[in-house]
Amino acid sequence: MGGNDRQRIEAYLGRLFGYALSLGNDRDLARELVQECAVKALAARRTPVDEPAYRAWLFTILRHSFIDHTRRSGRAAGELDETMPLDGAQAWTATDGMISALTVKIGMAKLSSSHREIISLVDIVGLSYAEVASFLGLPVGTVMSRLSRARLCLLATLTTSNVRVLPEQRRRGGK
Amino acid sequence: MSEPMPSWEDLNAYVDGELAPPQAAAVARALAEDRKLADQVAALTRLKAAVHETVAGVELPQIAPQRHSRRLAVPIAAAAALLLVVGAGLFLGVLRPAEPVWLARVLAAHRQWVKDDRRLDEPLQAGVVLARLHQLDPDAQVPDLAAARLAVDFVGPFDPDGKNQGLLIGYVGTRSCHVSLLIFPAPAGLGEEQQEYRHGSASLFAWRAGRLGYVLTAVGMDESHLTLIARTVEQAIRERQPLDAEARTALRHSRNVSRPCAT
Repeated sequence: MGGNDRQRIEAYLGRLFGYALSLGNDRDLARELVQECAVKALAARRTPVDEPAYRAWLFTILRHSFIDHTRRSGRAAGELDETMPLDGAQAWTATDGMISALTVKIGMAKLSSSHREIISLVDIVGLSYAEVASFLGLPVGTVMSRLSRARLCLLATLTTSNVRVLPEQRRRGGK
Repeated sequence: MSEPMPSWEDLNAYVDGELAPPQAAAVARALAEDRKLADQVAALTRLKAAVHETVAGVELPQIAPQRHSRRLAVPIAAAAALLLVVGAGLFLGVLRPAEPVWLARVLAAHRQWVKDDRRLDEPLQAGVVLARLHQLDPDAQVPDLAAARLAVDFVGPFDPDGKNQGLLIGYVGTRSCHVSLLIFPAPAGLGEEQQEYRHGSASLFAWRAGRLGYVLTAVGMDESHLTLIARTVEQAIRERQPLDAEARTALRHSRNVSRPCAT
């Protein structure tokens, strides 16, 4: 163990942080979880040699750390929002300007943890559908439908109620 | 015989490169024939890239503390140098120009927002920010200040001249800090160079960028920290780029050494 193990983990820090953030929606907690994951990984006697297996192993450590944290803190995990019908995909329209890192960051914070997690695993961690299925213990078909719904919910947060909630009278009317 | 329309799941899988070649080819043919489908795929592609970008350049936990200090040394030195220059400028009194008349409205708008603790009736819809900005001016920009632990919490109209042509973007921090960024058509006399004004415990930083005027203000905030935020915001807006790694590191460090906001 030593520099090589450390370098190996460092290559994943960004993705570990992104995944941790998607789980808890809390930057401080995300840093804590990544630290904890790194410490556990560095302390492990044996680590997977194969890179995909190593990556899955690392993210599993982090996920277990998050589950332990929620148990300790009594914090409820987010509920999966399965109510968004997939045929609602035709309902939204997005202009170029509405999708940016800033708006997506705000939108992600409003999703359920399950939705954030699956988007994060695919778009930040970079796992394939098959890898996500294996990681979460789900059929690939479920991964597909959950991811589709999650993205639809995210797009909905970007495109609904644009100006309606900011009428001029509300500001001027005051209290 | 025409092919069935690809489903929403198919479009997602297409964007993720998860379809088998025959299926991908079928989706590609459908996209070529249907503008709406093509728009949806384009939006999904942008969404995927934007999600990835949300964690680009974040301050990552350092496994090796000794590396931590080495990596931060240059940005911290740069931030310290900037603060020294700004501090010297303040000491010499060179950043105290005569006040324009619209400045009082800026401060009043900021104080009103803080006083009312106004938020949107509903949780902030992410599209609100850019939709309102686009409505004001396609060039208007709102930098992401997460590195300073400031998040956009409010967007509302600002009336600098009786025409209600501006916007107030309210950032809220984790230590009682409220920072307003006001964006409005640049009034006559507002120059490109950033100017600082003081009103008691309030500091205001104003500058012009193209057709728009920007003012960043806060009350009771650590002066050095607010000055660095104002300089950073101005630079990001001028360059039309997100904050770079050096700017983010400088903001994080500045926040860590600054005092919480006075309430």
